[in-house]
Amino acid sequence: MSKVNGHCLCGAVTVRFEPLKDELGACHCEMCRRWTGSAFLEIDAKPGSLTHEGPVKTYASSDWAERAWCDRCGSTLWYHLTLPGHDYYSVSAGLVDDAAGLTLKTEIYIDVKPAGYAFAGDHATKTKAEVEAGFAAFVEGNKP
Amino acid sequence: MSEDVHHGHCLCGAVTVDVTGPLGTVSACHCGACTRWTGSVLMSLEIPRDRVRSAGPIKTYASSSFAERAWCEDCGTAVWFADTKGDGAKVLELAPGLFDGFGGAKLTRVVYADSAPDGVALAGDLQRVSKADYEAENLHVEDGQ
Repeated sequence: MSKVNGHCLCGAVTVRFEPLKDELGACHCEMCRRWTGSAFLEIDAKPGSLTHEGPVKTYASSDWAERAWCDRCGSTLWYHLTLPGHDYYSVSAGLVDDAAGLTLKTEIYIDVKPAGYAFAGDHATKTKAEVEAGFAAFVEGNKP
Repeated sequence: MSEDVHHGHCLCGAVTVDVTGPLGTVSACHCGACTRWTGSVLMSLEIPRDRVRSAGPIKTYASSSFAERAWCEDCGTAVWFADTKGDGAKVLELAPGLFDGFGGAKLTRVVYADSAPDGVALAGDLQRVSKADYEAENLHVEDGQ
């Protein structure tokens, strides 16, 4: 895919990146839910493709990742893997007009989503246990 | 007997939001500003300000001449959207994610239903209000502002 441009609500932060896949993902984990207010809807960025400008503020939400927002308007910006040797950004879909024309195809942590709402459509899903088993294997495989 | 209190907090725990009494139902907004701010859709619990006690490093941004958006300055968690003028200023639209499992609240209404990104839709038998119908009745931001 070609690069897309995004910006926050106030316009102070701009971002440019190439979507890694032709799809949107949603994360229903407790941390993403608490942080965004509902679900984190995201576009994975191709490694090395993301550039940004403006007042970005970050919070280390775990030993391996940080979350970023616009310091001026509070817009959700991205989830970023900070493990050495990785360049992974999960970019907030709403920064890009019409979510870059992409369609929601995957929902993870589906079993901990609040029962009070759901996204429409038939999506690939992963449970908390499935995601975390995959993540454990990923971390194990990256030990020095 | 005292009323139930729902204890909410942000991701890092620095901001706390306690609601006395029922949380009610969840509303969702797909307007351009809410989409840009949340990244997806703004979900909210509409609670009278006098039933809400908040504490911690809450930062706000005046997103229009009549409304503000609030978040935790330490972790960026969305905390509320609120009108600052008119009748709407009597309530806070709190992020349901502040409460474990949305405090059990259910989504019942979607506004700017026809403004959602093409690839994203909320499921269920919801009250769906179009952009035109919403803007005919409520304070709103004109396109392009």
